[in-house]
Amino acid sequence: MTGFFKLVKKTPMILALIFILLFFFPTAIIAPSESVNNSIVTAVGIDKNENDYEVTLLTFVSYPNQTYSEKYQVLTSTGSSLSEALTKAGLQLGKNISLFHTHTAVLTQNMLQEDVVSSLDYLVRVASLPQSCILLATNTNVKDFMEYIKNLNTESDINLEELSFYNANYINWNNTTINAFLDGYYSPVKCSLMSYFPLRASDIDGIPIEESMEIPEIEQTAENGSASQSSSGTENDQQSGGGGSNSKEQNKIELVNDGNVLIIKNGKQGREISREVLRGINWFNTKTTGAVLTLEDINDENFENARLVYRVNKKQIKDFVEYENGSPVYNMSLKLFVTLTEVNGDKEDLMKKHEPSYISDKVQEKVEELVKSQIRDALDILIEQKADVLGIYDKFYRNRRKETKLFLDKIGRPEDFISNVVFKVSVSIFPN
Amino acid sequence: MIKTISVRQTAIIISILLFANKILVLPSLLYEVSKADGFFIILFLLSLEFLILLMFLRLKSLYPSTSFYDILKLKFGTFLAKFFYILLAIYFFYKIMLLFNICYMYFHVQVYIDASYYIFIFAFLVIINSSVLRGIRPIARSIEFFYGFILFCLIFCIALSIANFDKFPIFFDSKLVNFFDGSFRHLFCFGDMLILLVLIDKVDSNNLLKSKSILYFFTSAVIILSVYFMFYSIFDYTAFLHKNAISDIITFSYRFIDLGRLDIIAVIIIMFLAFFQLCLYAYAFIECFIKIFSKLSVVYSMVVFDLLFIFIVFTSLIDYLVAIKIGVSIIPYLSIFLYFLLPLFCIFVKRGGNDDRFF
Repeated sequence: MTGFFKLVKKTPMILALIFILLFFFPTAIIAPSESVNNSIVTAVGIDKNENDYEVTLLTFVSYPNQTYSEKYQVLTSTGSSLSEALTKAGLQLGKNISLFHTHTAVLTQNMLQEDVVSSLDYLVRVASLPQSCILLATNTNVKDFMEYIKNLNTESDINLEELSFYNANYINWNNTTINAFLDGYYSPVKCSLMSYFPLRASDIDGIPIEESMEIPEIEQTAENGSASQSSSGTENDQQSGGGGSNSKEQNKIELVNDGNVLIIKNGKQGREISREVLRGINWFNTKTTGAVLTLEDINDENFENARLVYRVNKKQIKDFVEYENGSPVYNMSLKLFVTLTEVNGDKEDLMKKHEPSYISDKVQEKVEELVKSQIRDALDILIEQKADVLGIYDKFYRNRRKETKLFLDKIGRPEDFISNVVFKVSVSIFPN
Repeated sequence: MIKTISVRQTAIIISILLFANKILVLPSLLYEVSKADGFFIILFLLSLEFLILLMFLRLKSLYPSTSFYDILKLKFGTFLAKFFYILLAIYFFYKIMLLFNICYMYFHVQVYIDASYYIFIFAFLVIINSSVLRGIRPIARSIEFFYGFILFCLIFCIALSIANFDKFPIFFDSKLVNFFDGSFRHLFCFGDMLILLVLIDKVDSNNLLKSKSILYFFTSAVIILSVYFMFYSIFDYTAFLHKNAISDIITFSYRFIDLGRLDIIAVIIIMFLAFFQLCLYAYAFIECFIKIFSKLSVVYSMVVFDLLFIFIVFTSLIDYLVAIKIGVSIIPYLSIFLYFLLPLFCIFVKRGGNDDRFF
């Protein structure tokens, strides 16, 4: 004991260590595990019914098991404010609501009728929702959506995060995290894109689940909700309309991930953009590759009325902005490195001429025409919506600030800028 | 027993001190004043900090083994020397409160939302007490031991943030008046080199002091500037929403969500930095306190510090918001005197032939 005291006298840091052990060890041992006090919310959904907020949480339930299976629970609570709704959710669950591990935030189209930023602001600043969390919208009641996601995960191991990541990495022009959304909202053009995952009746493409759920408003929303629908959806609607479907199938619902996104302007929902239009937007983005170019009626020395399908493996974008006679001009040179992947035509010998690196003048011409038309279609919608999700104004402001400020004095608002820009695009293709 | 700290340890202390209060909430505060031009404010303020370092080095070369208190006494007499030390003590105590509150808020949000002030007080205060009572040399050795690890983690954070880099920040978008206003109001996050003045007699005199101090200073300055650059690049228009810069630049991307809580790296860095910086500030405060009340022992001074600290924290006299409010309103005026005028006076004011006795 004397030796110990001598040691303590020599190195008083031991006293500090003993004190910390005495203070923190018992509390750490006695304290219940974090999962007892805190819920692990993996997805949060917000809906609004007249004056009440409805918060739905997809929570991970931790329990001991030997099968490595995961258990989730859907919980809904309402309140006149988000904080009240979350507090009620905590009461129902008997746990603190912890959003630290939340990967996905879901908003309904109801919510998007009003500026959603105040709600998101609360979740981010007060409820500690990570800003890197994926933000998406759905057409139906958020409770049904979460129930569907829970069942989907149980049945197929497909989860919302993976779908969102895939869209963000390969389909969308931009990532659709809360931060990306807020960045657009606080930018001069005040707009951004949001992933859209509708639940629809089972007569179109999607991921069905065995368990049928009755959600009558889904049909209604699908019909009335969006201004434009994806072509896959439309084609399938037509096909199924002819064939007819039984009543069981009609009760079935499917998650439709056709890559559609919503334009969000001033925090409110704008137009829905189909994947076809998104293709036009994606030509401005170096990150998105893997686009497919389908060229119809190719007539050249090797093919006659053939349909050639090319895959874009890589692309190079060189762009610069300038002012010509006081008007903003956006110049873009697009180099596509492609591989011929499919050949369809009338003659059997077409397949013999199938070379992955095949590019003729006609192909070059058709590709240029197709890409330009896709860009034109996309720009038409963006101009109509005054939604500069491409960051065109930002690019001019960064590179030609003085002239842009002068030009802005003439037109008034940055939102109107994109409609005054002249786009000059050149497209060339090379074998990959 | 050796009472001085080596040149390397001094340089490492300089490097560690430079991070104090700069890589968490400050980038966001600067954005609110002058948008992405906050980068230039930090560049300007780091240059001023470098001037303080140069003044310290000059003083060290003029008075190699004299304490700063003795230098002040020689130049201005005992009364003014004590007065200046009171100002320094108040300043160091404010710095402790600011650092403690910022770190508390950071850990509270990032790690342990249920944690009360009590837990943090016990976690920090015990270590601070023990370290200060042991003296500057054990503190310096501890910092030296962990320095490589801290530096590696900081560089790792910046490297991770590069994955989120998209475009350059929009520079030169705010007015010149915002630049000067922002620089002046945020002086409270700087002036960390003042601790060196208090430690001046405890630093080993060596020819390498100048070169090593400058080298380590610039290492930290480059890291800080990189954090600011990445922060303004990544967050663009939403920089004002992000109050924990070093954590946020690595957790921004959805690509990293599946990798788990990457911000644990930032949490570890901040934990080490906070402990060391708080120990150094507390040591500087106690040094000033002992000089002001020369009859008090170190232990009693430490007890006074503990009581004052616990009282202020428990009564929330200076909480997170109050600390920043005092920082932007009162501290800048005090800073101008303490950072620049006081060291300059010490270098240039002559008091007859009395200086000879110090050589």
